Amino acid sequence: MSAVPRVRVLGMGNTLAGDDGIGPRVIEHLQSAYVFLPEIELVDVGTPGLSLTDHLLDIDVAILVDAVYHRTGRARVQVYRGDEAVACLPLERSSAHEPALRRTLAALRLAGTGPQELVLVGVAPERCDIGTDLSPPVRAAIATTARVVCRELTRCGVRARRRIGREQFAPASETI
Amino acid sequence: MSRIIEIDPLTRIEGHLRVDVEVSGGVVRDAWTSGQMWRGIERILEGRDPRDAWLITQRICGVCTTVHAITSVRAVENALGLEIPVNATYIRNLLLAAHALHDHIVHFYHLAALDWIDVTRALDADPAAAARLGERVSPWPGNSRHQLEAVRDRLRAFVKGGELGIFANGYWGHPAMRLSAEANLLAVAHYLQALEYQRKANQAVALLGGKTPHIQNMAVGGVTNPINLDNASALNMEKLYWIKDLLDEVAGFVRQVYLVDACLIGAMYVDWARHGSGVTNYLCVPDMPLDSAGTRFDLPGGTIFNGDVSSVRAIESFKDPYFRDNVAECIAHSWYEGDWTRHPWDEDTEPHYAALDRSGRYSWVKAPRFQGKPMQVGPLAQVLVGYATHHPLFRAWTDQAVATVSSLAGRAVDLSALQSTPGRHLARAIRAAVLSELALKHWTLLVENIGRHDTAVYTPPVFPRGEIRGFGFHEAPRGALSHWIVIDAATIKAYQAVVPSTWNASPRDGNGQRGPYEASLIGNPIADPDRPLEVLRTVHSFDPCLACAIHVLGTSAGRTVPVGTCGGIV
Repeated sequence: MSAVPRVRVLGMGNTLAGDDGIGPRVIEHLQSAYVFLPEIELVDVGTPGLSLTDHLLDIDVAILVDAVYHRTGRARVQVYRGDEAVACLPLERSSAHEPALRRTLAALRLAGTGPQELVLVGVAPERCDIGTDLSPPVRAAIATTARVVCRELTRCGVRARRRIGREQFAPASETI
Repeated sequence: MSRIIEIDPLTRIEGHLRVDVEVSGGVVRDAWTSGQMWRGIERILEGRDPRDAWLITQRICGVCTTVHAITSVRAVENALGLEIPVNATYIRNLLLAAHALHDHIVHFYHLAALDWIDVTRALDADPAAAARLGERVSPWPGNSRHQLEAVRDRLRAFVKGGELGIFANGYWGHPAMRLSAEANLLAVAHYLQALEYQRKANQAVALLGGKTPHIQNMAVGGVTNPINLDNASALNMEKLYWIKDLLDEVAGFVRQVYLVDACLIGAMYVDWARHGSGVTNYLCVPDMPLDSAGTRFDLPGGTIFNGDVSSVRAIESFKDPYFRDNVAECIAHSWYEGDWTRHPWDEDTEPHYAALDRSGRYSWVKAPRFQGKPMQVGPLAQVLVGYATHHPLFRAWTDQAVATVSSLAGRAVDLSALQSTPGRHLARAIRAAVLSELALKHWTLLVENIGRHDTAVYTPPVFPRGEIRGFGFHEAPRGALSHWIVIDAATIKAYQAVVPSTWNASPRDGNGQRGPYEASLIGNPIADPDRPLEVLRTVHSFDPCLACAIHVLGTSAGRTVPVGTCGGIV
């Protein structure tokens, strides 16, 4: 790994399908509320197929943000790492992109490339029906999710800085 | 005993597609396809500004963002009677060609090839023999013994490390797998190389569209790429040559690898040319226009009925009433209020879910029909229409491909073999070869036009007060896509997207006519009902924008037994 790891934060999901759009919304929030080193890229990838390949190359760490069902219920923010993250991408779930992500990772692994580390930050959706709005609990989880992403960045050795209210929101001091 | 096999897949917006097939005596006797999720995206558009519609519609599908963006602006322009600058036409054409090349390569290698190749068999391959096989069929430098040996060794380490499970595809060693160890190794090598070339095609999309996914350069009235050869941040000569380099490299891969592999699969599975024809009415729309008004095109559009290429009738312009007046959607077997067949401008979308009833209503997908007939859409439709209308590029590449299949199979194969499950893959590769030429042609047209000091890219739209209607179409990677819009006082009053997978995955209509997936599955062999690989081969050959999982229903026990998944987006 280079001195400053190259990290890409990928917000996945469909902004027209209710809480499924949490990934892209977290990216928007991170972009407006935090300042990042140039080695950190934030991308709203929507619901990509194998074009996701491009976003997983030439980086050390990929942090995915997505809606992930969780048995304990709504708006739960949960971090999954490595194989645990892959295992979270079941084929039998209501989305086009998880299988593609799985396939993409499989292809990249076989090709001997792709990120060395994969982190999935999942937010449990409450409602994924047609519409551009998030449900209130999931909307309320945007800031928390962003802080969890920042905590993961800190763990990788790169800190993000809050544009305003630094004392209150500094991600490095956040404990979740 | 007859069994029902359910393929109950899941996707986000297109809907979870579920396919039920009734099997007896090792053959599929009947089939039903059911979209398992309501697709009411059009309602989000009501009341919005028509100039914003493309930004929203490109979120309909994460894989097909570019195609919905282009089709949406075409629909609004059609309603306004707005002609766009020729530079904008060429830039859109380059975008759609590069996107389609990316999509076709990914579909063949990364989504469908594992239905035909057995990765585990490649472990036993002799790299020298595989290299000889490669050399016999193609001048591609990536077929060297040295490179194939490296791929085999990497594969061995991968399998030894227990990583093969990530593919989640349980069809290794299936009796319907037919390729030799060497052919499998060659295919695995190309699977890996294809990762790089699909990326190059997507880079061309990103260079023109600003980013992928979700291009940023569309506008009702043209595109927003500033053309300025002296400005580093605009579309300048350096960027144009970068795009050309990418397109050149992709063209090499398509002609020397992709098309050859599609021929090889066609030849090794030549008995499959009997299976999967299904609905033999075909529809494609003309694309890659050569003028501002959309009256001359480089990609042919038209209809063919009953598999008879002499019945071809061309769709001639963006305004052609032959297309505009003959599309309707039927909800007789779909979960909506009412029982009607209506033109897309006159539809409403009132969901009314009930239990799945194979003899009644069983799908969220509507049944689009053309002159009352189900139509198969996709590259095969365009190849057949191109061939029938004597399109020089489609003729040349199709003749070459059919001759290659015949030579590899050791027996004469004719054009009719294209109307089959492997034929759809071959047609997609033929279309990719044609697109690889046309992309470079339209690059030249763009550069020459800029050379004449024409840098216009945008004509501002003006919205009238009253109600206007428009339609836009695009021959997307999965086939004919159309958007239909009603605008009142510069606001969207109604919007419908009739997407390729709706044509192909449609349920029965009011006259009991099956949709293309349903019809194509009848007669498919099933070697092992617990691992219905052959069903997936046929469904995957359409390149549906859907993911799926399989369940077998034992009719006697009346319970559903999950037996596996098809391993990915289909």
